[in-house]
Amino acid sequence: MTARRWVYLVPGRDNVATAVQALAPGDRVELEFVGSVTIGEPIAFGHKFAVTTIEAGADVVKYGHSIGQAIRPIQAGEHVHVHNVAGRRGRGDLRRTSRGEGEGG
Amino acid sequence: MAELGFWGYRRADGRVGVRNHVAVISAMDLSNSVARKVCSLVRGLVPILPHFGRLLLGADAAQHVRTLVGVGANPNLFGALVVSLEPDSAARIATGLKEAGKPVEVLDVQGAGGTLHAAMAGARVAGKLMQQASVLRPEWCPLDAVTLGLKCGGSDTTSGLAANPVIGEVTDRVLAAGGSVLFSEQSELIGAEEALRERAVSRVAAEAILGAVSRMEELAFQHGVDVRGINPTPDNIAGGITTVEEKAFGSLAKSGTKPIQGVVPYAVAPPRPGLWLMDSSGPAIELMAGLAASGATVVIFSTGVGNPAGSPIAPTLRVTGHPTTATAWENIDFDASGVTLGNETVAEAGERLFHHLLRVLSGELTKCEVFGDEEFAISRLGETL
Repeated sequence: MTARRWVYLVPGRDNVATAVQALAPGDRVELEFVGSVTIGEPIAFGHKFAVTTIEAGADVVKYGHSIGQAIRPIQAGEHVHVHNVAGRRGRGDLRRTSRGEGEGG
Repeated sequence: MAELGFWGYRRADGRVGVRNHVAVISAMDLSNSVARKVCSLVRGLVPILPHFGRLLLGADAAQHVRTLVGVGANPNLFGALVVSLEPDSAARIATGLKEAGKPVEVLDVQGAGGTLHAAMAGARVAGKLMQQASVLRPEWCPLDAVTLGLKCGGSDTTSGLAANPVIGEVTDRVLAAGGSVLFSEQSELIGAEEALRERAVSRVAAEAILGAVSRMEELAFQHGVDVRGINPTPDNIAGGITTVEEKAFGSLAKSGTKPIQGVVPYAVAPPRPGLWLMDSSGPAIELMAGLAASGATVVIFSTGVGNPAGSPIAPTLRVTGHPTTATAWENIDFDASGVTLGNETVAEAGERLFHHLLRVLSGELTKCEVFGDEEFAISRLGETL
C-alpha cells in the first residue's frame, strides 16, 4: 500500500475527510462517492476539510455520526475546526439538559 | 499452532497475574515517607503512595479504602506490606488483602516509634516477602485469565483513525478468548450514546451505561461549565479534534465491536468476564488506579501527541498512530502510524499489537516499567473534614 494523504472514513455519509499529510491550497483530492475536491486553504496533519458544502446549522458528519454543527456555511475544501464548528453536547453555557434533542440517551 | 496464552502467576483467589510484585501500600499520605524509606532499603518493591486518606467522609472514605484493597488484591502482586500512621487504618486494608488470600504484613509508624524505626522494621518484613515471591514460577495460562484495561490520552485525530481502532482489534480478540476488558472515561463518550446503546447486552446495561455518561455531562453543567472549554483539551484541539463528540467516536473505537456487559463502579471488579465500562473520571493516573483496583493486570494506553504515564501495578503498553510521535516521543511501545498513513491495515496492525500484548503478559517489560514513568492517585469525591 502507498502512503495516503487523506482519510475519508465513511464514504457517502461523512461530509469531512481528515488530512494525514499537510494539504495545500490547490491540492486535488479524489474521494469515493464525492469525486474531486480542491483544497481551499492549508490543512494541517490530522485536521479536517469539508468534502461538500455544509450549511450553517447542519451536522458535521465523521465516523458516520454527527460530531457537531457548522456555525457558518462551509465550502468544500475548507478547513473544518473549532472556528466554524460547535459541539452540541456538554454545553453548560447553553444550560441544556443531558437529554439533548435528537441525541439519544 | 501453539495455543494462545501466556506465562502467568496463579493466585489463591484463582486470578492470574502477569507480574509477581511485592508492594508497599501506604494507607494515607502521612505514612508515605516511611513507605518510601522501606522501598529504598529493599530493591524491587513497588510503592503505592496515595495522597489523603485521613478524615475522609462517606463515599470518599469508602472509595479510598476500596481502591487500596483492590490494588493490593490485584493478581500482579504476590503480596504487600501495608503501612499506616496507626494500626486501625492499616488493618482495614490488610484484612481485605488477607480475604483475597494475599500474604500481607502490617506496619504502623506510631507503634514502631518513628519513621526510621518503622522503615527498618518494614524493610525486614518486606524483604522476607520479596524472598518468598522469588520462589514462584509462572505457569502457562489461557487468555481467558486476562483482564485488560484501556485508556487514551494526549489524543489527536490519529487516536481515532489508527491507535484506537487497532486496540479495538486486540480488545475483540481478548474477549473472544473469554477474557475481560475494562474501558472508562465516559466523559469522553458524550455524543456516542447511540453507538453505546446498540452494543449493550440488555436494556438494564444500556441504562447503566448511558446513565454513567449522562452523570459526567451533568457534572459539567453543575459547574456551569461549557465542556468545550475543558474537553477537547488544548493538545487535542491542536491535533485536530474539534468537539467532544468527535473525540467520543475516536475514543470508543478502542472498545472494539463486542457487546458491553454493563457498568462497574470505580475500583470494583466486574462480576463476570466480558467487556465492561468502569465508571471513572478521565485523567490517566486516577483512572489507572481504578483499573488496577478493578483487577486489570495489563493496560493498553493510546496517545496521539504524547502522554507518558503508566500504572505501577499493571504494565502499561503505550500505543500511538502518529508518525512523528512514534519516532520522536520516547515513551512508545507500539507504532500504529502505518495505519494512519495507509501502509498497513487496522487488522494487520491489530495482529501485531496482539502478539506484542502476549509478550508483555509473559514478562516483556514496557517503556513505563523500564523508565519508572508510573504514578498513583485515587479519585476524590469531596472535601475532607
